[in-house]
Amino acid sequence: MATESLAPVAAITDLILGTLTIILANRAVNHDQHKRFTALLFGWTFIFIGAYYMIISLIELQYPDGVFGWSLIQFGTFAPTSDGTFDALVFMLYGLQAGINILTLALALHLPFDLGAGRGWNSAIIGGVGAYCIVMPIVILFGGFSITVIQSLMIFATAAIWTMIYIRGIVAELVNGDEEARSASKGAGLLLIAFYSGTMIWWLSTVMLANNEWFSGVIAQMSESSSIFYLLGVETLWVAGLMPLMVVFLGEGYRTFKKGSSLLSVVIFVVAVIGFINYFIDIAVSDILVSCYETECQELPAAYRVWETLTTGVLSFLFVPMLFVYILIQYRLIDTSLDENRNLLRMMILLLLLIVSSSFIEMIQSLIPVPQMVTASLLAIAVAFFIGWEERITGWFVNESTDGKIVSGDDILTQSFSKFTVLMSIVLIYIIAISWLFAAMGVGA
Amino acid sequence: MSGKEVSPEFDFTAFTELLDDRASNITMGVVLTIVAVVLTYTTVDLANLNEEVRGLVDGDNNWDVSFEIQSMTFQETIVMVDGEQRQLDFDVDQSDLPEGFRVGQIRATVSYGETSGLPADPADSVAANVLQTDMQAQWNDNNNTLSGSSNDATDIELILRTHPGFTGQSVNATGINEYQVLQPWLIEGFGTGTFSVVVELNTQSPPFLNDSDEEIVVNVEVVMFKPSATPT
Repeated sequence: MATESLAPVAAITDLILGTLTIILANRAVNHDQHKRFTALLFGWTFIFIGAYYMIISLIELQYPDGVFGWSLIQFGTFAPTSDGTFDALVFMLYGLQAGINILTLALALHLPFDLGAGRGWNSAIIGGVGAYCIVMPIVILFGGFSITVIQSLMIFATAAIWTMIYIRGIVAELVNGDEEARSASKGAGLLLIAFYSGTMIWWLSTVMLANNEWFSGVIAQMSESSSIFYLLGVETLWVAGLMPLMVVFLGEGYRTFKKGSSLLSVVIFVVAVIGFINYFIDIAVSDILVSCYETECQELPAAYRVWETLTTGVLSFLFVPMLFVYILIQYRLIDTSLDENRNLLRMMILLLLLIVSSSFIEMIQSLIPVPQMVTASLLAIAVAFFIGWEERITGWFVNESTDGKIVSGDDILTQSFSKFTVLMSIVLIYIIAISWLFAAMGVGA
Repeated sequence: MSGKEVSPEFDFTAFTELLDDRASNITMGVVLTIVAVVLTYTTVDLANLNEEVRGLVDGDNNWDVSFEIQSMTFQETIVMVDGEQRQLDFDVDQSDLPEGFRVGQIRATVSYGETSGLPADPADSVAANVLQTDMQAQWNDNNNTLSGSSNDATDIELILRTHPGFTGQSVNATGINEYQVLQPWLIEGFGTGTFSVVVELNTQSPPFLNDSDEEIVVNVEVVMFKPSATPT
């Protein structure tokens, strides 16, 4: 059974959202400077994630028979082929992944609140992001790809910062009775889910070592033995998903018991249940996972692909952009008070909801044989619903909450906004250029 | 000196404030301890797996593949008249094979003598050939003997190799495990179906006497093998 890839949908959604966010951040000259800068960081994270998915879509389109796994980029298991275009696209993914990692760390240092301040703080952040995006792709390409797992440390550090903020917020709310502290724990929790849900849904497989069994199949196909540091880097990445899930799950479980459920608690429970089921799926297909060295390589069953699309795919490609927009608006990172901004915002929300719902319906159609007339009707219902309830939906996103108050930080020079935008545009062009150049030179072959 | 306060280059007050709550710090400490434990045992497990897998992948991958041989035989005795050509079919069914065995080759021996009892009667002339059927076999193998003849009553030996590469002798192979090494020898379907031998008789008679027929025996031996691999 062929399932439709959601990567192109995620690419379009993220690129549009990124562009709109950058426009809104640059336009809101009277808005809080710190929030504007955080929105700009968000916007560029969108653009990098969108570009990443766009390249994944190109690879899926151009090389439909090729095997292109997540581990190829995340764990650096790629071995250059003789196809220069393919190699160049993969090199770009490494560069974009490095960009996403450093932008996420920068976001963690700014949201829900600024962890640093001072005259040089934001300049250091901008300089750090730029330097990292320039140096890291070169290090990965010339360091043999597997060196990319060194970034696991940074990914873990980012998760640790948000986890600490979550703990601080939930303890303040539930132990010390500080109701306003909920904004911090909610923000940190949602950000953790937005950035780490991809590894969170393998939490039980991490604890029960099923991930290792899967990775042993990847190791078998690598040309050289892996060092202990490399293996530690691989495990650090899994643990970077396990740690926040464990903390947010327990925190939200206790909070739900005390105060009732919330958006965050519902989402984290769903993620935890998916992770629980994923472990047993791992057990069911364990013979296939190790088949490459125990017997001979076998294909995963079609049902596994369907489950993966409905969980990992929907979560990463469709749900995460919605979560990003929710955070962006709830924490007032973009100014929603101006009429012109509010119109753009309404457009953003409607666009997002329509893209997500139509893609979801298309995906369902590719999985189960529902007649097109039925899915077309469902889409029409969704469109009617979104138009009819547009005010209410936008209002739900932009409701008057106190969450925005917690986002605080020091001022930033006005010219830094345009400089950061120029810098990130150059970084994007730089990543594309060096990838083409070094792929053409046969680097890594 | 100006009264205006100059902000420092870097100020990490917010970061230190994040760490100034004892209950939160203890909770985070417990979390990080659990994380360290999980990280340690998962890394040790992965290192062990890595060693095991690399041992298989990078280790000595030479194997000796040997074969346990069994045979299944068919025999048919026919009496043919001078100038007659007859086709004999032998059916080899998959269900006839013992568990784990494959058909390696099929041998046919066509035997006859001079049975007329006539004085000075020379041996008859017999020709035999294996007819190509739908049976999956190595029909173009150079080591096949698919036709033969005799005019001195010696046996005619025919051989058809069915499984690719099978000679009956042990072979060397490379592969990361026994399963992969044995894969080529576990393919089913070769050598099953109809094996057909066409026999033609031309009698030789002494002068003024008539030798018009002969008894011909066709023995068919289906050679089956069961492979096993041992590392060398």
